[in-house]
Amino acid sequence: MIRLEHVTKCFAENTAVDDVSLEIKAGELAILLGPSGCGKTTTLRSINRMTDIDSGTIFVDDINVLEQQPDELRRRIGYVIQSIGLFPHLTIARNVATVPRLLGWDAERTNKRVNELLEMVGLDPALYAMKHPRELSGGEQQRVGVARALAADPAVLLMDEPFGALDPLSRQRLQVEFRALQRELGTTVVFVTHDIEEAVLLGDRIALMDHGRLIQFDRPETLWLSPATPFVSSFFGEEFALKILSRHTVFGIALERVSPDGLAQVTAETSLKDALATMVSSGRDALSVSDGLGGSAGVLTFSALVHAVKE
Amino acid sequence: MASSSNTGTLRLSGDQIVGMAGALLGALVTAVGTYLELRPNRILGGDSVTAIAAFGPGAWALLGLWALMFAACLPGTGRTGAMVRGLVANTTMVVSVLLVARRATAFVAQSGDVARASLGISFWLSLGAAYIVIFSALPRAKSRNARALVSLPGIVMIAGLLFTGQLNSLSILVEYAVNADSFNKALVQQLSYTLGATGIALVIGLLAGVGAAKNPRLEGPVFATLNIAQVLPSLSFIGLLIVPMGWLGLNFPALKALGVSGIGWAPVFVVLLSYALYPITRNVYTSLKTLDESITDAARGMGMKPIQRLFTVELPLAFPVIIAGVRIAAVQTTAAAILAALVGGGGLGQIVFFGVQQTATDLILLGVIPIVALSLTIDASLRFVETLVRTAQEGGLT
Repeated sequence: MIRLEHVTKCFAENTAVDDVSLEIKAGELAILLGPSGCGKTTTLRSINRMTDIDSGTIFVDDINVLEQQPDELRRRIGYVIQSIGLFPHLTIARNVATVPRLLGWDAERTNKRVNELLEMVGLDPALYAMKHPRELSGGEQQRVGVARALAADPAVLLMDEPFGALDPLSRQRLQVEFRALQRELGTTVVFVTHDIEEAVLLGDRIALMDHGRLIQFDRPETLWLSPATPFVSSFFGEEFALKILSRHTVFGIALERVSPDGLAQVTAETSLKDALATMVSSGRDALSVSDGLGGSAGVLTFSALVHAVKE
Repeated sequence: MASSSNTGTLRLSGDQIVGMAGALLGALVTAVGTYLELRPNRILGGDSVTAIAAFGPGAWALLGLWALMFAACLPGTGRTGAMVRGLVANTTMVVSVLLVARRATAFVAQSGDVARASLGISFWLSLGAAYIVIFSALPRAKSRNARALVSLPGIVMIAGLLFTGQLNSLSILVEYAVNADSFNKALVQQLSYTLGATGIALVIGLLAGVGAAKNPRLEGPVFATLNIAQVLPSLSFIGLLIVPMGWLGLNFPALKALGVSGIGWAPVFVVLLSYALYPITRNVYTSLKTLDESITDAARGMGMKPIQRLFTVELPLAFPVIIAGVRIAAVQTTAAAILAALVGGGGLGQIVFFGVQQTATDLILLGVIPIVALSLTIDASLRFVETLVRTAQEGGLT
């Protein structure tokens, strides 16, 4: 879907992106992760030509973006930034309608789409459509930012630390809701962040960058189990395992048929991280997993949990 | 609120001290100084009379009103005191104008048609004192309506008296009646200078400002040119233009037909236009340069073309700042246009210079007062537009 081949970009004396090649599959949520100044934002912005690269090629849907009119290219690619950048003098509806209007949609189609999008991001159109950005909270504003980026139903969405400026509570809520929405729509997403937790929680695959170079592009589990360089393991740190646990749920792990008496209970949807926390706080090395009908489906032991993750 | 009641002692706040000073000044100039000058004719000196000598009991009423304003500044009177002194100041303005008009009518009736009743320094100072009291009350007025109620009724009622002919026996209006034709012509010329120069400066300033903001290579030349015009003293600037404008008038019949020559309206207009260009161009440029980067970045990322960004995002957001530039330019042009009279370009300055030549103070005032009123009106109305746009853009007053 998106293919970068030997992309290089220099600013004055330093190389921001250094010979980066990677391929992102359709429907995938790919994270560009790394310390600040590693070139992740420049890489992202080169895809919709907000930054023009010095050498290399970039394909979106097998079309070379360098051969496209930048403005027309950008209308087909959603773009969400950390500072949101809503137009303060326009209503929420008018903000969301930006790209449809540029594409010349008629008013009826635009309005219908705006209402659809606001509902999709959890904002009641009747309540929000005619408000101005200033009247919304940061979280609500970024919901509008996401709706605006999705307006023309783009196949690709570029997001530059979209939830970075939000308070932890709204950030978490938006991460979860956004992940669900992305799966539902099947949009291919390139997502820049420097937050490891966010990267591991959201990413199908993570491209770890450092000093303009792509170090490794893999599933988080692979990054954990077979890091390409020592930098990978040192970047993710000792807690990487715990973060990996948050990606998986109890569902699918083989349970033991022993008596659940006296064990703390979790559900099949509980994340393994929470399950582990429950074990620690209950002081036992096993948990009862509910069958959803009030009974117990079996017992999850500590060693089963550890094995499941290693696989 | 008005006093620091928590300490138990009553203390004066800043606005109350200012209000008291205004009320004391008002009372002082009502008691002493020339309120009215009653002269047998336009040239001869006459009796300089105080308000007390001129109005008798009416003056005591005025003093009572000033005392009331003073009382409304005392500690503990708070917002009510401020509203009271503001409204009383408006009343006092209207009452004193009515009193001088009545006394002037009586004097002219008694002394014959050539007799003149001119407003004295104390009268003008008392108007000033009333405004000091009004300004002291304004910060305490919370709503826009309350502020209008405190600042506008006096001036509106005086304007009403003026236009219904109630003040016609005052010397300044006699001067108007005598010079009505040249005054009206001068006023139209003055307005044409202001509107013409500001209007054209807005068009050029928008182009130059957008150009300078978008193209770094234009930035230097644009502001270098404007700075030269800005530092030239106005009279020397007009002087410098006499030769080139004269040449244009002589060599291009079309321009000559428009009245372009070394003197007259043309050089003045060019000077006014150059002065007006600076604040407008500067504000267009600055407002575009200081737009929130995330907004322009988002606009670009959505796929807006430069021209679409300019018209749907950048200029609308810059509009309040641009209007502020237009306001400065218009006020500045109104004042500078007085100089037109020096090179035969007309305008209200001509009335002022006539007055100076004839040592007729009232004729000078007939020129000066409309200029001041014009400046204040332009300033207030453009400020209002600015607020209106800002409010609309930010989604109401919430």
